[in-house]
Amino acid sequence: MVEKEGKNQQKEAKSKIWGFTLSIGLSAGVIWGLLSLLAYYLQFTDIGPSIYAKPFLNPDYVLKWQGHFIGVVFFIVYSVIATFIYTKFLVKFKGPWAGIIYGIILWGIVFFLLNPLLKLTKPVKELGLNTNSVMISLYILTGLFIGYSISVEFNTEDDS
Amino acid sequence: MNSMKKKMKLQGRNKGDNKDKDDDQKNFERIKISKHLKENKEILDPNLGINESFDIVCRDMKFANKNFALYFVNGFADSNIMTEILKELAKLAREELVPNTLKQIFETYLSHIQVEKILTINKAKEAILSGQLVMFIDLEQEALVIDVRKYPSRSPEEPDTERVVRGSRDGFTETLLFNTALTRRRIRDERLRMEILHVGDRSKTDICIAYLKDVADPGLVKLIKQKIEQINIDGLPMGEKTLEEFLVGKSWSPFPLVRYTERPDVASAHLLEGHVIIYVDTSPSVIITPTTYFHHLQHAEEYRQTPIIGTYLRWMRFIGIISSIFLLPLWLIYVLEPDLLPKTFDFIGPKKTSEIPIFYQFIIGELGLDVMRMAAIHTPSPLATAMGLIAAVLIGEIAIEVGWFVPEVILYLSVAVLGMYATPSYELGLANKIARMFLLFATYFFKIPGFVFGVTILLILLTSTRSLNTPYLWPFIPFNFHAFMAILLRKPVPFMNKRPSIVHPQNQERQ
Repeated sequence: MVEKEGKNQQKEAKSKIWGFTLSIGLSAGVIWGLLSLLAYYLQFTDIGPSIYAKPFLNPDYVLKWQGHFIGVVFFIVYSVIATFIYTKFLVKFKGPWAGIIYGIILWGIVFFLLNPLLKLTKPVKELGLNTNSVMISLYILTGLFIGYSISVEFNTEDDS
Repeated sequence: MNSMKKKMKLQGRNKGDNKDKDDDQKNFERIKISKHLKENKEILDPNLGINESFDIVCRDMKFANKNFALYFVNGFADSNIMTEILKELAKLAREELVPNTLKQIFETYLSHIQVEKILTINKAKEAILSGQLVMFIDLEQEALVIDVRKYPSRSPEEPDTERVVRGSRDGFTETLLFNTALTRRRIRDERLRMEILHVGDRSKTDICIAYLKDVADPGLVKLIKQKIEQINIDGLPMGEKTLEEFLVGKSWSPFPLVRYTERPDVASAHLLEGHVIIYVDTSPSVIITPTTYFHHLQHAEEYRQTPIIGTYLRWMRFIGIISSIFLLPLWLIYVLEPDLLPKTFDFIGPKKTSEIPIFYQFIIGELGLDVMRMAAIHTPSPLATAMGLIAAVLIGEIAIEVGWFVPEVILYLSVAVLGMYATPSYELGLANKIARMFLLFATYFFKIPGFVFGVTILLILLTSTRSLNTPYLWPFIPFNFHAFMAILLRKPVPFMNKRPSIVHPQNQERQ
């Protein structure tokens, strides 16, 4: 009986962890996805969120607003996946820096690995300073958002 | 080399001196009150500087053939109460007092509520300097401390910086006792604890830590007490601000790491949420801990209106604050790179150009506005109208006519400054201004990358800031859905039945 209860509790704690992770992933996707849309609208960057949906999307849509909104939805899905990966493997790192580095790594994966593979957009060298700085910043902040939220929730931090 | 040795020697000697002093202090603490009035006076009089300073008084009196010595500070003692007490004593006959004079007086003849017996000279000295009446009686080994204090103070008034249209109009004053009473009046809970501490070797300032014992995080209370006890300073003339700098550490961050309030209702609301409040005597502002960035964006007014109106007010405030930070640098980008402007906003951008580049116009405008703000603080009110006239007509209009400013610059500067004034926390308004200047510089020198990285660096700095072990940007980063919604929407109070998790409350549910 007691054992069963303990198991149940463990199960509950586990589902709580994944529930929290899901909520962080969704919010990260919504907030930073919409922000990347805003940066595109303000013409800070040449690439809108539609690139995230490009492999699955009718090519006519890619430069239209519908395409970008669908892209935001895909961005949300990706950020949920990224959050789950962080919770699974990187939860033990404390402080904001782990999240920032995670963001930079994600940026590297998307623009140096997936981009040449799936032809999402121009190579990084040709994107120009504006677009690149906006993209790096977005990934850094998304990583920080995901990493620090997870790390504060599941670690007890007592420095200073 | 030689000088270093000398220095070390000097330091060594200083240390020794300090040790002697400490020993003296310790000896002094142990001195008991003597049976003979004369001996007590011999120790106390030179120590307190009786006859040297005019405000500490020793009055020798004789009641029923017994010698008394009364010590008090003449500015604090309430003469009505003193007269009453002395009248009673003067009526006494010798038979009524002997034997057990002290007991008789203490139990029967002293017509006052707050009376205490003390045993040591040091306690007597502390009591005298805090404004109480200390009564020494010949042939008694104890002295009586009678609380006849009446501190010079004003009555509670509505604080200037936190006005509301409707709601209570009382505010904290400079007297600690009034302030704790104003809070206790709102929370009649026996679990509300008010602990008193003293800080300052010379000033001996009273500091009170208030919290709900079964709600507030005991770790936080312990941390705060520890930090306050560690403070080593001669005095706290600037009250809570000095204390804050000791509490949250030496930091060059311009952002306010604790929140101040002068409203007892705001303080009580935070106590109920599980925050810890720190009162400092001689200051009408109390410190609310722990604090995050978003605590500075809330105002009592929102909770005085219906939830919808409150939410609307809050959103307007957010828009004002966001534009106070981002509007100027954003516009500067489009001035520097006009082809990037979205088509919908084609009409903006300076039509006429001035001799001075836009960036310098902003900087001159910012500095000018700050000079004006400071002038407004120091101007006596009869001259305020004249100053308003100078500010609006002369500087604004004529500067455009002469060609110093482009009209659009004035428009955006005014919007940004209005947003700053709409920030409920004055400290945060100033800090946001520094952030705006930083972004302006970054944008001017590095265009879009400067702006984008500027914002990123700002966010990273804010995220990694911690005030008393609390992440500063909570509940945005680290994210907390419920708390974030509570900031975006001003929820109806019946639905706010959970305490915010950031204070680590011992029980989450509000009753």
